[in-house]
Amino acid sequence: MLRAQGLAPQGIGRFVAARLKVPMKELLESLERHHLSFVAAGSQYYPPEFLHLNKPPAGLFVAGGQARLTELLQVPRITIVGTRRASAYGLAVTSAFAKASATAQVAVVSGLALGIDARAHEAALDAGGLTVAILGSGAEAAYPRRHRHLHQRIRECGLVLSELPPGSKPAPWSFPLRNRLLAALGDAVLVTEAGIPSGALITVDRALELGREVFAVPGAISEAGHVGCNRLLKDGARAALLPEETMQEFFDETRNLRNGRGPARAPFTESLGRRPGDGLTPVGRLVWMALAGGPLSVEELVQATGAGASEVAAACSLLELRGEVLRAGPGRYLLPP
Amino acid sequence: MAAVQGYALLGVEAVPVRVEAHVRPGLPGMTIVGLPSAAVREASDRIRSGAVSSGIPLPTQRITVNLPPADLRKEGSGFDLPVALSVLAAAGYADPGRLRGVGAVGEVALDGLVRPVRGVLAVAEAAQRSRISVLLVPVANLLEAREVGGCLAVGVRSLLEALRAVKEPGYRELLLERGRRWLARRDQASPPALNGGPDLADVAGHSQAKRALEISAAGGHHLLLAGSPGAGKTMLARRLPSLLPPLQRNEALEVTRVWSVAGVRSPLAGLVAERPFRAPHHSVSRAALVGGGSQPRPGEISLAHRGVLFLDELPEFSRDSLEALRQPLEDGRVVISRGQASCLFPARATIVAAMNPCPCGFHGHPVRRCQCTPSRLDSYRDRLSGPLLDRIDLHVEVPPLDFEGLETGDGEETSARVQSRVAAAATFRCVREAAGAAYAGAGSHPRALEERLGLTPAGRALLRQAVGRGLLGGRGYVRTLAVARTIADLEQSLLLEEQHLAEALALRAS
Repeated sequence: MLRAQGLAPQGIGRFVAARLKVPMKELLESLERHHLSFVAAGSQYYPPEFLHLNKPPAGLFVAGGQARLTELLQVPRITIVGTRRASAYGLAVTSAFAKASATAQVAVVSGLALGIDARAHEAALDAGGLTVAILGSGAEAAYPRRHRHLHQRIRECGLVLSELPPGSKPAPWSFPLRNRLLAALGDAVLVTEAGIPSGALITVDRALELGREVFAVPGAISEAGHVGCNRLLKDGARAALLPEETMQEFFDETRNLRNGRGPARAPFTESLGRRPGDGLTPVGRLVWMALAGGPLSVEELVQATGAGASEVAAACSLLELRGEVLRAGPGRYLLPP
Repeated sequence: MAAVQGYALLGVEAVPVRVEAHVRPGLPGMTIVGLPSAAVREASDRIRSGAVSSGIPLPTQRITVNLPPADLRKEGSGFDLPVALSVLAAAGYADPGRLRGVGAVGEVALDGLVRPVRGVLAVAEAAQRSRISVLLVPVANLLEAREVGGCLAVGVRSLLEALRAVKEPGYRELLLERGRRWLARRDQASPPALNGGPDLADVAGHSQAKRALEISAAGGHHLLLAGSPGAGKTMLARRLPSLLPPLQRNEALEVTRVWSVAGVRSPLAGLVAERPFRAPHHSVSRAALVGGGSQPRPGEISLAHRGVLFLDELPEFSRDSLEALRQPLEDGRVVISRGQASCLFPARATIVAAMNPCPCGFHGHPVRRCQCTPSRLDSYRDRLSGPLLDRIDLHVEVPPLDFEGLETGDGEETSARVQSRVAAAATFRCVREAAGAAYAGAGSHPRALEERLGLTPAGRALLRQAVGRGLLGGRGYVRTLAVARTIADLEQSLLLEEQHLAEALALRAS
């Protein structure tokens, strides 16, 4: 990769080493050891969107290979972020939107953090799509450690990026820096669940500064975990209610920014609104409708439907077996988005 | 030389131990041999003073007491009385021949009175088995001893009474009569215990949790209640015993035997009448929970036999303690093995566990915000993975109810109503099993078993679908069937319908 810059290796090395305050020899050795590539600003592989930033990264450390980096530069990209303390609802919603993005050949960009970020990466990978993780630490190691398998998976099927040299440990200042990259790389930002305060909202601020579009998924107004998203909507963010519909909007709104990168319209038609399937018992239908308002426990469903605990529990099970509802913990159910 | 029958406690059983005494010229002193524990060895001092206080001092000669077999440890304070009697007989206060067919148990105090001891019910049962004709027990233990028919239990208040009862049959009759009169008076005086305990109707709402309690009571299924602090988990758990059918006599004897051996109850209370409810604090040690110690004593789970063991704050219990619960959860008993012998404690209890959703307690709460970091949340949940959770058939979330739910107080079912349904389900099960056993013979093939449970092809398809969706594993399949069978019994249905299976599935952990 270094040689492909068309600049003499020594020149690059010194430049990089000086900017990053790391001895060149050590840097080259660690790149070798961790199988990372380095992409300097101005290189043909460097995403031009980063140049919109006030202080673009001097270079990027990349795990994942040249081919995928090339692909990344040619497809639409959406940044999906959210809270680390995700609820079952937030996770389910994230899965749905990430899956829809992958299906539409839109790369999913996120931060490998606990909660929403990890789920976005996973869902994109499961749907066979391209995903990019931007870290606030060295690209070679997973942070948080718990995500090392996911990190490995992304290395094999997607891309891991960092502007910090390998071996860098995460620090409080490195995450806001990373968040500006998240905002810049994506053509738009989607927040699926966030409270106040939240790191995801910092990413949103950066995105707004860059003129990016912001989508947010509404949540129950009584839940503290959704206050961030709901406030964003009040302040003018676009409401993300249905994955396919949101994808359509995404394609429309980012057409100018993308400038030919990816198709003009989403490559599938809008799906119809949700309806309960046929063959539900009366109680099952009531349960399904009650869940439209959000996840509920069996106890709450008993109060909402007026049926007995026994019938409600049985109805929930049958709906679960048909795939119409998902379980969110013992005795709690929700509708899949 | 004189000998009388004494008893040693092994687990919840009593083992007859022959107590022999021999008096011969020599340096004055009493020696007890036969691996006596410290308490048994101290008996010599107690007996000596007790005898003096009673006006029947021991001779100033060499006294040897032997407790065969020589290699079994003898423990407990119940040996005082038999040792005293055999020594007194050997010393000439009574004809040794009179001691034939006599058993005794009790502790002797320094003033010569006989004090109550643990495990007299077990002793009485052992006496009955070994064809003892007279069993001398402390008066306070008379109630227990009388529950076992067969041999004559004579309550003695003092060493003197015991000695006279041995020597004079007429006096024995007198003591028997006294005992009978005392028992009669007691039965008249105290009416049978009223069931003024906690009632299910005290709890407003929580219909799913109540339904789970009913299923647990009908089938003995273990139950886990998860919810925020103050949601009502403890309140619900405490009401489970009121849903269980009253103790049958053989069950009451089992429970009383364990409690008597453990010494947790006054012997004057007689036979246990209510289902036990034990709620150990989560700092309980493994031995205290399942039984053990150098002298094996029953643990909380045995004290909860035929009743309910409530484990509040389940994740706070030590891993060691929870692991130890595995065997009793499977077999309904605890086997404690020591170097010389192993003893068996019954432990067929229903476990009700309660836990918060997270360390701060408010994860998933509609109003309060959870303060836990994700890693803390994960490690909290990790504490419960494993065999224990797998054996709990019913998982219920107990959400906090708002005040509106609390206002409407009437219309809640009483424990009595639910208890009658539970009893009807138990009867139905007995009838069904008796009929099934006659019909199917010795078929132990899984298909045959499932048919005997009433599983239809549609039901099997439903279960298979659940397995396919990853909702059920191997054990989960079997346990879901068991819970569904209990639900069907509650509805007096021979067949396992789809809704029975579906409800059982919903109650299983995800």
